[in-house]
Amino acid sequence: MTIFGLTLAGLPAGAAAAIALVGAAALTGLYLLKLRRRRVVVPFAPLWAAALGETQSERLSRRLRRWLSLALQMLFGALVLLAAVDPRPAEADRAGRSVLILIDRSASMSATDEPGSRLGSARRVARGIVAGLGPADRAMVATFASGVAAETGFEADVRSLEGAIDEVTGTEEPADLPRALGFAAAALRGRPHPTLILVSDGAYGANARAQAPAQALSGVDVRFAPVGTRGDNVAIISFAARRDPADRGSVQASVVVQSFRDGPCEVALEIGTVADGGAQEGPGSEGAAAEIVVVERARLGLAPGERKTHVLHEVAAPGARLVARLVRASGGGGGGDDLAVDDRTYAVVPALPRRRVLRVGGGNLFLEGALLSLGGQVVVRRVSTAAAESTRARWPDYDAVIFDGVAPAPAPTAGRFLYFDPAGAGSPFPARGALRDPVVSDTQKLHPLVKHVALADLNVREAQRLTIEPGDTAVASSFGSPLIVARVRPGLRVAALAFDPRHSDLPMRTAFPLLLANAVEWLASAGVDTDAADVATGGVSLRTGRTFRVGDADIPVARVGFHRVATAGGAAGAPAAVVAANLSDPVESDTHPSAALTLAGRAWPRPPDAGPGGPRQDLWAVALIAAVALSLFEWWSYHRRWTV
Amino acid sequence: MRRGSLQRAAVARALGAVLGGGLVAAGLLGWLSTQSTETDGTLAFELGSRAAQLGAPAWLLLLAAAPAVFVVRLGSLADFSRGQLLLQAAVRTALLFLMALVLARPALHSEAVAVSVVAVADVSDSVTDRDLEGARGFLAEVERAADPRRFRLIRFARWPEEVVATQPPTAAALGRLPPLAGAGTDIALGLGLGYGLIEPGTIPRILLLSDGRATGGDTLAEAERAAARGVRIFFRHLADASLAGDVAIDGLTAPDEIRPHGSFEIEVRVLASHDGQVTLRLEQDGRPHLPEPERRVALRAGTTTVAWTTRIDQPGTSVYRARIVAADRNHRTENDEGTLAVAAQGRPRVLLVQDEPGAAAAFARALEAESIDVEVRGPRGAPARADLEPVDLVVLSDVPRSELTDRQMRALESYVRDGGGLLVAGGPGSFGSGGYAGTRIEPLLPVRIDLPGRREEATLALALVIDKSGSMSGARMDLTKEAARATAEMMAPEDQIAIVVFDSQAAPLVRLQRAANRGHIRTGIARLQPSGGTNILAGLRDGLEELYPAQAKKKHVILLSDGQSQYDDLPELVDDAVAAHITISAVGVGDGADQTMLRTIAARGGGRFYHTRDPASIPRIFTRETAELSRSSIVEEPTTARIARRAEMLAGIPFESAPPLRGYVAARPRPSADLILTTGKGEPLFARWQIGLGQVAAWTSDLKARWAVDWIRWPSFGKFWAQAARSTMRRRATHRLPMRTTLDGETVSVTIDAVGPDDRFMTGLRGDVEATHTADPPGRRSLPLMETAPGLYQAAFPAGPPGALLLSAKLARADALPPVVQAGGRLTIPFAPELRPAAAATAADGEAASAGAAARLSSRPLLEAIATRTGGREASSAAAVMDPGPDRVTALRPIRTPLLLAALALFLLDVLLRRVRLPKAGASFHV
Repeated sequence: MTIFGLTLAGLPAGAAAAIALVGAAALTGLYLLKLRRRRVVVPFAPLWAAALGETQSERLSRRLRRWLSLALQMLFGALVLLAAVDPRPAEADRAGRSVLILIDRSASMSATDEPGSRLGSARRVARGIVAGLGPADRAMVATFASGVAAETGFEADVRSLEGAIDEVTGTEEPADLPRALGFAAAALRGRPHPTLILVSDGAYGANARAQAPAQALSGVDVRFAPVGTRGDNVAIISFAARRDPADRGSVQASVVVQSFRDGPCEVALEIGTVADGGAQEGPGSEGAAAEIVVVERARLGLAPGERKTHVLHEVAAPGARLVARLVRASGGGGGGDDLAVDDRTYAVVPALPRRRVLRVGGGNLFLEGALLSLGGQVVVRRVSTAAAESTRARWPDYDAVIFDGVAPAPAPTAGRFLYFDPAGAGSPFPARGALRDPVVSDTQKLHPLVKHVALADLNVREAQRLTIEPGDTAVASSFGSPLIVARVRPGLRVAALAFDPRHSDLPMRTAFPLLLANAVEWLASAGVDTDAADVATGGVSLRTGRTFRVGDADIPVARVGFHRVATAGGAAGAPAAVVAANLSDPVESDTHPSAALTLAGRAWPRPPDAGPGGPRQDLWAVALIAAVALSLFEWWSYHRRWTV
Repeated sequence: MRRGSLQRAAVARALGAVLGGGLVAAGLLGWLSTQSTETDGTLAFELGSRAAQLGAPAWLLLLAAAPAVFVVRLGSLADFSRGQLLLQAAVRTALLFLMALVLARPALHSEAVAVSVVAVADVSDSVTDRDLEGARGFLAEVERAADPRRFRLIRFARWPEEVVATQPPTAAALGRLPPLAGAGTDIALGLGLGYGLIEPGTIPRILLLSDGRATGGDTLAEAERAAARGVRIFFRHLADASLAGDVAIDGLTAPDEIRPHGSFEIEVRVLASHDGQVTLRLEQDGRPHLPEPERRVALRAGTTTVAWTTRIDQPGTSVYRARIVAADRNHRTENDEGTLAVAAQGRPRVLLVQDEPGAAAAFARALEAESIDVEVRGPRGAPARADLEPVDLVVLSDVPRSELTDRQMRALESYVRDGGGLLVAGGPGSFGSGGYAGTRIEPLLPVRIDLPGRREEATLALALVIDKSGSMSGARMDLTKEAARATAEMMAPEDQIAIVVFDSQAAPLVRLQRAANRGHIRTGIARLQPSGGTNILAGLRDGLEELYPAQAKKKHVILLSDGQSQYDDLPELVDDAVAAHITISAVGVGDGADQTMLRTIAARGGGRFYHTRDPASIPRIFTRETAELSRSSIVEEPTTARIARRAEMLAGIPFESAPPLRGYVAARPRPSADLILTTGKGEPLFARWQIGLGQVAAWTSDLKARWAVDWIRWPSFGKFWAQAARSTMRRRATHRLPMRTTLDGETVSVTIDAVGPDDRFMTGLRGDVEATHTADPPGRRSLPLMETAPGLYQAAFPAGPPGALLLSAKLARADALPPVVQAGGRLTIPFAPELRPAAAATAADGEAASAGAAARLSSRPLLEAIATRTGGREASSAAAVMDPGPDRVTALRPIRTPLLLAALALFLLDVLLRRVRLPKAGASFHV
């Protein structure tokens, strides 16, 4: 209920009114009573004559003192009742400001250049802002990193605001300033005297500043309360492992180290594997406490702002977990490092799943050689053309079925197939004649089938003019006639070469085993973007988002380290996937604080020391303090008979 | 006096009491703080079995006034018994204690089952009016079931906003946000605002009403945060949009590489919520696409791809726009258009400079047949540096050095060092015989053009007999001098030259001497001045006199004249020369020259006759004539091409069927050059090497119907030269990598997979991607690319308004060399993701759908995922939302109000004790 611009947060108005009525009636009734005088036997009657000879004026004075006493009691009761109803300035009080205290809790706020951390300093600054709020001001505490959330509503309760500020904890996520400011603009929209106070170290990139919703904040009094004293950090800004494109059994890892210090420095980089069983299992970050077997040490000298890439070849077995960490170099200019979260990074060597392949056709040494080059990760079963039909029922069970120069009729409608030079009634791509000496004129270079495959100047003696259907993809073609085709249908994946590789120089090139490996991977991984999977299992960056897809699962990741992902539909006992997450954000790692903030040409001044109208005080407390004072005064006056 | 002293004593007692009371209170506070578990100024302690807290315990110091109350009583003038006065003081002290306690902010921990609901309602454009109305109804139910203080409402689309109603119910005030805000759905932001509105000390619930089609924010991550806060999220699925039926253009795609004049397919991806028919229109650069501007196609629910065959005639950017003209059920028209900007790269470009028009026409035709553009220029057409920028390969076909200026040679050298390709093909006017020894071009060549062993033997003795009559003045004389100089310079050092000039008389300008004396010869030529008449006989005689004693394989006279002269004795003189194995060529300049006589001299002298009206051609005639003669390095005999090293450029070329070449220029390979083909004698035929960032190849035979006349007819001629040209030309094509672009909600992600020609990751590169938006006006931004894994470079940025994006990236090594990797991509930014047809959002094939969790998890599954992660569920009814179930929350509850009510009651008792005299024990009560 709102009365005179005040809302009652305590006793409801109705109850308060009833209590006031009853109390007032009781007090009046009590004061209407005439106090019976005490019986005292006085032996000398003439003394009483003086006492009884009270003047009229004295009688009036006594009556007034009684009514004054009643008034004091009424006032006391009213003050206590006022404290009980707890009146507060109404929401719609246009006199007060609406202050949104937006606290940055991104990774850079964990820098230790301030006592405790920058976040501790931010909390102190925010408490100071709350202490300076005016009596009619209302404030909301909100925090942000990659996400943004309100910690309180717009309220006047200082203790509630302070409580929310004290609860703010740091994250290992990067800051999304445009999103946070968009949120702030939305939360302040339509509120009286909107004020935004950003408490932060100002570690935002140029793009984040450019994308800030300056227009939405045009009517808002924006303020910037800086924290942080210096920029002194060396960071690993990227660490991930990938399969070698030329040799899928081999894995490379790269570590990118950058100095954000103002002077040259030297750091030691250690790369190691996490020993089996050494890591803590369970949800969330793991690896920090794990035992690490160092496999490589490097000493890097870095100029200010310099970035160096350190590459490891043939790192470790598939599925291994890698840790790269920065250690202060002894000797040289080691210097300080205020941010720990980017000194230790994690990567998982991508696993290479075993693929089952069925090869149907006659002898073909080129094909056999290429299949052999794929190593033990591909298990090949071979059947002759004549025996093909006997295996038809099991075709869908294979990761890839290769038809070398044959096309069993009818063409299968489910499964994963690779055709070389398909012909006859069983061909999924009917031929319309032959093409002499075709030249590869167009290639869909982004298609997974031809990833890293160079087809320039491919020499083909003769190819078929394949007919493709809508939805098919001509991955490579010769002036409109497809040479490599891909088809995706529900439950079916087909790739085809329109020519016999033996009638071309393809088997002589490194492109052939690559093409074959790509085809097997593409067929086997139906629906999974192998490119993304390669990277996602190697390492994810909190910079690009928090939710990542691993296999069929979307996992939100909030902390750096290894994350064990068990999919709900996974088979019992199946090994859970492990994902490595890193900060990988040079903007966060650059801990140079900003003393001032300018967005879209608008400078954000410092927040004022106190809001208009002076420090705030709870009305109920004021009323109660007044009641205490009144109570003591009344007690004194009564016993001194100033009131009766 | 007595009264005053009493009062002073009372005041003193009161002050003393206050002081004493303060000490006692402070002691009490000190003791309490030792019992407290808090450190932030509050006092926490156990009160029976419950935890209690004093938020501002300093207010308990007010109790210091309590003794004063009793002290005041001692000197009281009130007419009460001592016992009643004592009772009054006790009650007043209790009242004081209560008030001090209230000011100390006492609170008790208690377990609550009250539910606080923050309803977060989706009002984005994808939510239909009917769904919105349904949401209002359901929210009204929840609001009725909830405590008014514990129900808050937020509406959200692209951003959130609390709904504040002047009168309940708040649900009735639920409306849409301003138009632009409705074009997105950011559930995460809505939830983020919701946390702040939850009443402290209650069971927190968020009721999410949405169609679940998030377009921004990381919804699942936000759900994780909600779970961490203990907030259960219940949801109500607004599903009416899926019933409305809609068709939309999702995007357009084109092949990775598009060349002018070549046809390619533009694929239009159409999303539909239902099976049906649609009419599509395609425009190219704002004009209807011809010959087929419109097409009617059948759609399936989900994605249907429609392919249009098209072509671009000029290199550059073309904008294709696809539009839905008519459809069976089309709920929205805002999503009926898609745009794609296509940059057609020109085909590889070769600049062919040849010695005479049409000489290398077969070579040019062969390259063009292999999709390589060829620009043919004459011998004077060698370009300047700026002209070379778009050229991938320069071919010099039998172009003598005299045709190139120093500036042009510098331009060629700089072009090659910066990455351009140069192929120098042979012929009589090329390599050493073309006068390239000692030039800027010579060190660029992968073959040495000076041949040891042939140095000491003079091959040629040449006499230039030049008419210096008055008619030769001006440009004619200047060009003649230049021709003489060029002739001298292109001769091998061991060859011999003499220059004889004549007017009415003859005089030797340069006596016969080795061409190595170039400075002396140049000085002699510089002295040449026109004057007098014309006496050819005298000049020719003196020229022959110079040659008679010469020791050389070939002796030759070049006679130049522009006038008339006597015929007397000329035939005999020529015949004598022929008898002495001296040949004579004649050059007539201008219409005044006696062509008949000069032709006769040339015919009898075994040489060639040239006539020109353009003096500018004099140098070319001289150098050509000299080149014909300076054939010490020329081998004119049949030879076969032999493979010295298997190179990629030779793949598929059947050299066993190659016909012989009829000649070549003898040369030696440089030690570090890549010798690929040799002649039958093992001399270089095709050699190549790297100069700076570019490559230079030498083909010592020719490209024309002289030595390569049989090769031109060979079926593999075109293929061989196309492959050789491609492997030599600028590495622009080979270092151009594909760029993967994806649109995830409203974020564009760019990925470049940098794998080098050696199939290895290209690590440690730095660079930027430049994104150009085809909006009006076009927007351009540049973003740094991050290496996120070996050879993998990525960047992400907001997509911006609907339209098309063209992307180009350059990556270089840190040592600031020119870019080593270039990549290009394009992307359609379709309608706001909010307007994606409902059924299509979930029906797409895994490959067609854009990556990203928000796009994959859409509609109901997303809402279910949120609920599952937070322990919530679908809200079947208002009661289900309000039911606390097993949830309990322990909260710190202030107990101010009950204490103040107790104080009021005590206050009434206090007044009562003042107004009513208590009877003594056994006495009757009197008023």
